[in-house]
Amino acid sequence: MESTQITTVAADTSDPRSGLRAIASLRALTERLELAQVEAALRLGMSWQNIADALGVSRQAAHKKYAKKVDQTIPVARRAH
Amino acid sequence: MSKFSDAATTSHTLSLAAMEEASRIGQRTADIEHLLLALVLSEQSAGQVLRSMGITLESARAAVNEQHSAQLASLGVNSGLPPQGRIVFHETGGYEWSDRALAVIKRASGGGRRGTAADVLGELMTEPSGMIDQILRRLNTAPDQVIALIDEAQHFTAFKPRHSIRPDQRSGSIEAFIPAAVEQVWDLLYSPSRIPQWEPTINEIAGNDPLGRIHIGERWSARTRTQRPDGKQLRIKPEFQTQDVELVACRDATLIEWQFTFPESARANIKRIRIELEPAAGGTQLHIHLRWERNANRVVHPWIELLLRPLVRFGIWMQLSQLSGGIGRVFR
Repeated sequence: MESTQITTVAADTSDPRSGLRAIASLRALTERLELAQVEAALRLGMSWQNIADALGVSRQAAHKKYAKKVDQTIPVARRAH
Repeated sequence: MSKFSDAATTSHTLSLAAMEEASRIGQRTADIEHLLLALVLSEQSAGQVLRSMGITLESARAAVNEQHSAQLASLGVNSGLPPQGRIVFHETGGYEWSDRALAVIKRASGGGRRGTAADVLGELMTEPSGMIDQILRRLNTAPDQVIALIDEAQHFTAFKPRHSIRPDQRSGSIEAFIPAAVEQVWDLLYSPSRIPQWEPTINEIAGNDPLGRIHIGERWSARTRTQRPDGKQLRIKPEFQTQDVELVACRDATLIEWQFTFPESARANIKRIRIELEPAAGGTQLHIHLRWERNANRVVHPWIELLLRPLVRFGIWMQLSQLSGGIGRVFR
C-alpha cells in the first residue's frame, strides 16, 4: 500500500475505539522494529553515536533506552560508546 | 502460606512467563496479551480453566498475532508482523510491565483477594481496552464464559497453595504446567544428555546417552555452568565445577529422581531433584521436589541456621522456580 493510502485509512475516525486499539498495536510494532534495527546495527559494529544519529536522538538517549534491552551476547567491544 | 507470599509467587511466575513471551517477538514491555499467554501456562486453576476450554499456548499465541495483524490492517498496514523467534529473556534485559498490565495484577490482590492467578485472570477479563475480549472471540469464547468458569472452579475447589518450602529441611516442592505431552516431557527428563536443557547449574554432561535403558545407580560426570546466558561469567569455586549426576529413582513416564553431588568437594551438600509427571488437559502437570541433603562433614550451627532460614527459603523457591521455568522453556 502506498503511504498516502495508509494515512487515508489510518485517518479514518469512524470507529475510534478500534482505531485507538490499532494505534496501540502500531506502537508495539514500532518498538519491536526499532529494537531489531538497533541490534542489527550493533552486530554490524555501528557505534551508539551512529545509531543515535540515524534515529535522530542523542547518543545518551539511545544508549539509555537500548543498552540493557539488546542481546547481551553481542561482543562488548562493538557495544562501546 | 500468607496472602503476601501467594501474591508474590504468582506475580513472579506470571511476570517471568509473560516477559519470556514478549521476548519471543522482540518486545521488552509485557502487555495484557502476554499476561493472557502467561495465564494459559499457569499451573493454578486459572490455567486449568483456560486449557479446559481448549485454549492452548499455540492457539492463544495465534489469536494474539491475528488480532494485532487485523488491527494493523485496519490502519492500512498489511505487511504482516515480523516472524516470532525463540525466548531470549535470559540473554537480554530491561523488561517491564505495561502500566495497564501492572494495574490488572495490582487489582487482583486488592479488596480481600489473594492475588492468585484466578484473581488475575478475573481482572484481566474486565480490562477496558477490549483487546482481550477480541482475542477471546478469536478463541471462540468470551470474558463472561471465562469468568463463569473461574467462579465455578473456585466454588468447588478450595484454594490450595501450589508450593511449599521447608527451610529447616532444606527442601521444597512446586507445581508446574508444561505445554507438551507426558511422553515428550519424559523424554527430556529421562535423558542424561538433555539435563543441561532444564537444570540451570549444569552446562554439559560427559558422553552420549546409552542406547538402551538407564538404570538406577548409573552415574554421569557433568560440568557446572560458569557462564550466564547473557555471556557474563559466574564465579564458581574450582571444587564446584564438576558434578556427578546419578539416577536414584525412575518409574516410566511417572516419576524420576536425579541426585547431584560435587565429588571434588569434601563439604558440599547433596542435591536431589524428584519430578512426578501427570497428564493434564493440553500438556503435563509436574510436581517438582528439591532437597539438599546435609553433608555429614559440615558442622551445624543451630543459631546461624535459624537466622539464615529466610534466605534458604528464598533460595530453594528460586531454584524450584528456575527448574520449572527451564523445563517449560524447552517446549515453548
